[in-house]
Amino acid sequence: MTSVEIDSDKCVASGACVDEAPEVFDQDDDGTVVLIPGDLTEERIGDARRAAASCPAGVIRLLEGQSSDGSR
Amino acid sequence: MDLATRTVAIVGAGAAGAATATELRSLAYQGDIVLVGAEEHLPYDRPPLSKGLLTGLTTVDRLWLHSASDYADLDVDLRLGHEVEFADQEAKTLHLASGEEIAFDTLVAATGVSARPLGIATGICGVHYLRSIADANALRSELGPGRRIGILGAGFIGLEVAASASKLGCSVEVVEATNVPLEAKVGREVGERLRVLHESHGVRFHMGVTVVEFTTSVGRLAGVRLDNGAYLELDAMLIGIGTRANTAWLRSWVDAAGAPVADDSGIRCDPLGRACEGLYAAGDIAAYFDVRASSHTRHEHRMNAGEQGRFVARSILGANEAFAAVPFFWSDQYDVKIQVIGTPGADAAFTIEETFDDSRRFVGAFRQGGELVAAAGWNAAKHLQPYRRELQSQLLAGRANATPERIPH
Repeated sequence: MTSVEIDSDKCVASGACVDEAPEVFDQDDDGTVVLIPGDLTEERIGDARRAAASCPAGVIRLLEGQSSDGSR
Repeated sequence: MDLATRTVAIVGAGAAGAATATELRSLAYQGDIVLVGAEEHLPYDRPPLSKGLLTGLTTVDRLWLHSASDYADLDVDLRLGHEVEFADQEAKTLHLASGEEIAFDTLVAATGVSARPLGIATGICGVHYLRSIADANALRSELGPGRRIGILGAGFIGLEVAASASKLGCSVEVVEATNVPLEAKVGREVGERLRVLHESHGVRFHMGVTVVEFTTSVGRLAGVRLDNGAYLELDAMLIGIGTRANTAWLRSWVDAAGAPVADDSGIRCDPLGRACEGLYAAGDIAAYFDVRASSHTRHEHRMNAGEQGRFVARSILGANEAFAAVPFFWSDQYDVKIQVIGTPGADAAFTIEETFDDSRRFVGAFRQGGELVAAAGWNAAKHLQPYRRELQSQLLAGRANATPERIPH
């Protein structure tokens, strides 16, 4: 199982994650990232991975479980 | 072209360089990646240097963009603590200060910028610049209750350090040549509010003046004289008066027409991030041709470093799409987070469009001829989203009319 971990203390409220993965991330009133509860489908994992790459503060990390294809 | 047997060398192990390396692997690039950094540190995040790292809110070990094992897992050959003396365009070889050579097929320049030094302050103990962890550690040792700290230049670095120093109990004097802090970046109105915010924390501003003399006592900074005759007694001073691009190692490189591709103002690139055959650039150093502005522009912001870093990875692997991103930056000062999306032109009209909490927070729009060109938020990050979307759709609409083939280098 892949899961998403956020380090919200580092969040700079850019909103980049919401652009990339609006079904996975939201912002609270201060703009700080909030994880939307729910199952991580393949598509959402892809979105979350792009969000992690686009975050300008390294807030988002994907914890890869058993990767299905064994690739990087 | 067999990508699997090629080497991409990335010089500059900051946010842009690290993003290029990781994105190449995300895109399944199988060849070699060498990432060369002048500092001994793993690639790290620089925005906290002027904020949390000075105030103690964060620590160096929280700045790494990825862990050492992440790079190993991605098979990225990290060469840290290595200065590149020059890159040989003909032989496609990097020459490191250590004497080592690294052959490459494709080169990515991501060496960023350095603080522009002030000649009259040369060699004076107590004068600081801020670009690196080492700089931040040296500056931090100067800050504390009652310390008299001067800031030359009310830009992002200057104002953020002023806020951090003030938080730590320092007495802070800001000297700035223009009349409004950060006006070119955030507009007059937000700039004025920033000044008021700082003044409410006891920071004093000396606007429209410059430093003409640094005085020393027993080899250390004692104070500065301003061109209006005023004299400020200081224990230390931070100079933040702009930057110059770290391009010395690329000075011999020329484009197809024989013109140099790099100078102090950066590396001139086409909209694909390419300076010439085999050379790409990303981040602070890179001046991409901006189709809408019809000029080469450079963005010294953290967001841009990641965006261009990932973008050149795609370009290297054959994507033929012009770089298009809405500029975004933020600045944290005291308990205020300022965010700007887009490019506020000097003649754009600024209006506050929404306020919250009795006007303590707001969103404002910059419009030119009625069209939205930028938006600014003052502790209103979430409320900028609709403006971001509008600017992004403008950008996408604009891109449809401008294919890379039609764009001059």
